Amino acid sequence: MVVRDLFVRELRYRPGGFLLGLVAVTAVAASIVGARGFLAGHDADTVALVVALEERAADRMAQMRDDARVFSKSLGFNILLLPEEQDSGALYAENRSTHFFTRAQVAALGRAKFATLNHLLPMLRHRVRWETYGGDVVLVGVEGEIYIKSPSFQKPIEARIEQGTAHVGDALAQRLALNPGDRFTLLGETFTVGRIQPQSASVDDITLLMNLADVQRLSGYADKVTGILALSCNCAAGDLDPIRQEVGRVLSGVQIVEFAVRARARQRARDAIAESTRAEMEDLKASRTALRAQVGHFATLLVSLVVTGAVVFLAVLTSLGVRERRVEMAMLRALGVGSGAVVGLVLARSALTGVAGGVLGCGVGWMAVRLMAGSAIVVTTGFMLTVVGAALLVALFASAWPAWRAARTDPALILNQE
Amino acid sequence: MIEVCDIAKAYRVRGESLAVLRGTSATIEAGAFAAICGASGCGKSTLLLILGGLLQPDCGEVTVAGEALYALSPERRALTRAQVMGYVFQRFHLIPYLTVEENIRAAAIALSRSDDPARVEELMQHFQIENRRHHLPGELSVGEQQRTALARSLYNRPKVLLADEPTGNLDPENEEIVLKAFDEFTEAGGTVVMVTHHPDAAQRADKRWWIRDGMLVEEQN
Repeated sequence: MVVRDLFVRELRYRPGGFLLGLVAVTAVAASIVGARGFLAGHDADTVALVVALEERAADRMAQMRDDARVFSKSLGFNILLLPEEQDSGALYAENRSTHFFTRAQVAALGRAKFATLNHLLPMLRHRVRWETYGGDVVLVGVEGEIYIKSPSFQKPIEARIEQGTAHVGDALAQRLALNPGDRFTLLGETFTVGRIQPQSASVDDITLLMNLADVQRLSGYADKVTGILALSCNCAAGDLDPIRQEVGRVLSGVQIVEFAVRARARQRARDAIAESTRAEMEDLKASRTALRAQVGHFATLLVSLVVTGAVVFLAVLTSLGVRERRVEMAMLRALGVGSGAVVGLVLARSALTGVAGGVLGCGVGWMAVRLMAGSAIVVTTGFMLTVVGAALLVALFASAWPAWRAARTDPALILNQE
Repeated sequence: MIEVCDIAKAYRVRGESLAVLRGTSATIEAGAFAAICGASGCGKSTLLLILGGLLQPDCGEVTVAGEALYALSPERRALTRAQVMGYVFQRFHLIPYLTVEENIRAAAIALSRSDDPARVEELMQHFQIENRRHHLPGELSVGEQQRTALARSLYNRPKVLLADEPTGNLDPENEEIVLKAFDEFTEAGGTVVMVTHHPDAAQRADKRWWIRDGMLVEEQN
């Protein structure tokens, strides 16, 4: 017969106190694991929400980029390079240039490897009087689209127009009853109608789109172009500085005009969406952080209350147990058992309560997190071991005072009274 | 065997000192069966606890089997108690969650030695409780409980038996079993000190001591 046998027999004889203590320690461990699990789950949810928001924003941005690209392409070109001296207002009003790029300048731009521009298209615009029509018409000559970027994979925005062919504006075609394949005479030369341009309610309705060489010849500006049309490469709308810097390195005396108003608006909308997404993300993070703090405080308060309650409950429970066993302990002392062994009996019971309650509480807390938060990855084994250790300390702490009193109790006093 | 030298003990009751023993002395020889008698509250149990090394007297010394009990450390005194003495109480004080057999073996817990099954068997047969070996104290009669307590007190082959009103709750038949056990113990060379206020039980003792006014007075035949 050793003290360990006494411990085991007593536990089997009075399981009630042990089970009540077990419930208290289980509550402590479960509350700690549960709080940790729910908080970690909250953090994981926050990360998932932010990632989802970022992904949605990225998708929307990508969609906007695609829209802008498609839209820009539908516009044809959105950048116009003009000689610096050219009054753009006069050009739009008169449809005549006063200053021109030369063939050499165009060739220089074509050889450059621009990062901000592609699809360079030299263009000559000139207004003439067409007697057959009975008014002024605008001749626009284009030819030889120059692909700055990835030439082998790009399709031309404008199909090449053969010499002797003209695409006729809607108003001209209506008045002169022209159809594709018809022939007409302009300034003494005969041309074939390539296609009839769709009505645009703009100067394009009285425009003849022709081969550049034809317009140069008809206008008397051999080897000259009014300007160069281009498509910008996803530069932020309104920010033409990168284009100016690149063009300026190749050719001086160039003014750059952006005329894709709708594309610019779309770009601005895209920027606004990006900004609102960032703001939304910041709001989300801020609100989740605030919620996290509130939940954290609540969890801390709850765990503190549970631990405090458990300590008091265990202390009372152990005190009652010691009181119930005082005669038995006094008798053991009378049989020569030292006070250390008597204290050991009390503390061993508490230690077992702590460890068993800790393990049980970890299981209960883990299950609660898994069932309610739907996640089992947030509580590590290391943390659970720490909780079991903490439960052991709580149980020992709660029973320290009753154990000390048991050791201090005079067995003679008890045996004399009993 | 037991020497009591000028021991005194007082309790504090409601802030006042209540002297129970007042510097009394006595010697009890080995093999003696001594009864200590007196009115209730006169200090009989206090004296027995002091003799057992369980209650430190305010002054004086107790020597049992050559050991001055209160000159020893508490641990050493506890060990001496386990080796030399056996206790029997009026209310038995059996450990409620141990069986009869285990309660007897519990006497050796402090000695850290292996069980002696033959000794347990011998005691259970002697006190006619062998058929109750697996029963808990709560399942025993009063007499069986006292016989179990007696067996427990004898398990370590003590030199001194200290008995506090051992027959107080017993019927005549069980009282006789207990007193007969004491006789046998003293015949074997052991010393019995029995506190009692039962005249018949006291008459079985070789010597009777009375506590009067805190002093031990030996009864003269």
